[in-house]
Amino acid sequence: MTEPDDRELEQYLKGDSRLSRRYREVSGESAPPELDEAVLARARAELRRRPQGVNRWLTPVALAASVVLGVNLGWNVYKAEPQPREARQALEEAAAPRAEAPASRDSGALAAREDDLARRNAEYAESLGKAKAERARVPEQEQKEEPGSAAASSDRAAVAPASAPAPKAILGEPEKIDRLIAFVGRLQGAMFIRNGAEHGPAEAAKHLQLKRDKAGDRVRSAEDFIRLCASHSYLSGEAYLIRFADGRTRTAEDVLREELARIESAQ
Amino acid sequence: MQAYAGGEAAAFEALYRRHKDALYRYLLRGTSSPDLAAELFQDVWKNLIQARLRYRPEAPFGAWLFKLAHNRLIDHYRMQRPTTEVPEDLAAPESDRPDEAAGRRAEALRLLRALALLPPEQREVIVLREEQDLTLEQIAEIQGVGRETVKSRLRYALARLREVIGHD
Repeated sequence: MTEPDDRELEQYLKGDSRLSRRYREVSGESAPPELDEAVLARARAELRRRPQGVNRWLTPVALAASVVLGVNLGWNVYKAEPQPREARQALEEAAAPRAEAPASRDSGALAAREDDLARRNAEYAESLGKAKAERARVPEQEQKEEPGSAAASSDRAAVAPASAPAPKAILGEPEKIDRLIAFVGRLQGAMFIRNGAEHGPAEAAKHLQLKRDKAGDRVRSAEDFIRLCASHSYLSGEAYLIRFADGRTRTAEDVLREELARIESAQ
Repeated sequence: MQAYAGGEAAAFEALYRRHKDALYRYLLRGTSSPDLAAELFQDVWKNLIQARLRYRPEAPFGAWLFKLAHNRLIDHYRMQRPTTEVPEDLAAPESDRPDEAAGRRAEALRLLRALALLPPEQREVIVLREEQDLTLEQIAEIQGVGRETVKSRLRYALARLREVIGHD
């Protein structure tokens, strides 16, 4: 390597170096238009979800009201009847949600958002448990279906004949995810609709793999993968859709859950 | 940004359109993958939207945006296995054509390839200079190092790139 050069540095910092000119000649890449739509939709949605202005002071007020009411109620309970320590704790904990209710009613949008957040958190926290429960339940449902029923086989009919026969070996969760991604990549003639933009099967499979890689340890099961990576846009919250060659459109989540059930029941 | 934080969606759009392509190229240079750059691009704007109330006008918006982008890129690097592989898809289609290997454009494409091979912290200095015209002090703030360190990184980066495109 040639040696660093202070004169070269000063010249570059002046802004009209050969390097800068060459860089400008090849640096014309633009952000893809579908990113524009997604980001701008997100920015607008965030303003609607959490109006600035009035609600800016409602949060601390609601919090303060909760604390005051909670402490007051807890203190009255404590004074009214001496309780064993564990019983007093249980009473105070039970009082807390009731104390928050009046303040929450004053800020409907805030409460709705908090409910939504709580629901999402609960869904994520329970995903492992639900995954186990669904795995136990879904094969039973599949067994009740007619083997050749249209509902059970219509989407699979769109898969290329190249799809391998179901394996008999017990699959781990990573292998199930691999198969789900491969399934997506083989859906000939289908289009995947992400934030309003259409993508072919190969591109969709690549995108799902990318999201899986990004999710890292958060994805521990195929159920997690469907829920966190393959069902909706992380940015806009919009559901991913699949439009099949025959014109039917379904959510990617439903299609992949069915495919997961098929994979698991074939083991 | 303050207007957007105050509820004006149009203010965000104006900022977004002014900076989006530079940010996209910054992430493209940092990852050498359009798909990955697109993912990180969305993450950066999402983080910015969520942090809008923390923006302080003492620093230029661009410097703040690229600080968030730098942080996201570093998170990405930390998740990756160390690799010394040459990025596969950078400028390959053009440079594979011998008839276009001569001339300024070919030289510029070689520059991009050489840029991709620089250590990330050196490459970032060049890209931030070229895309945002940030000062050494602003880049130092983004990278979390001193001004002299940035200067040293730039000096080494220029020396390496000189081997590809030569002197003025």
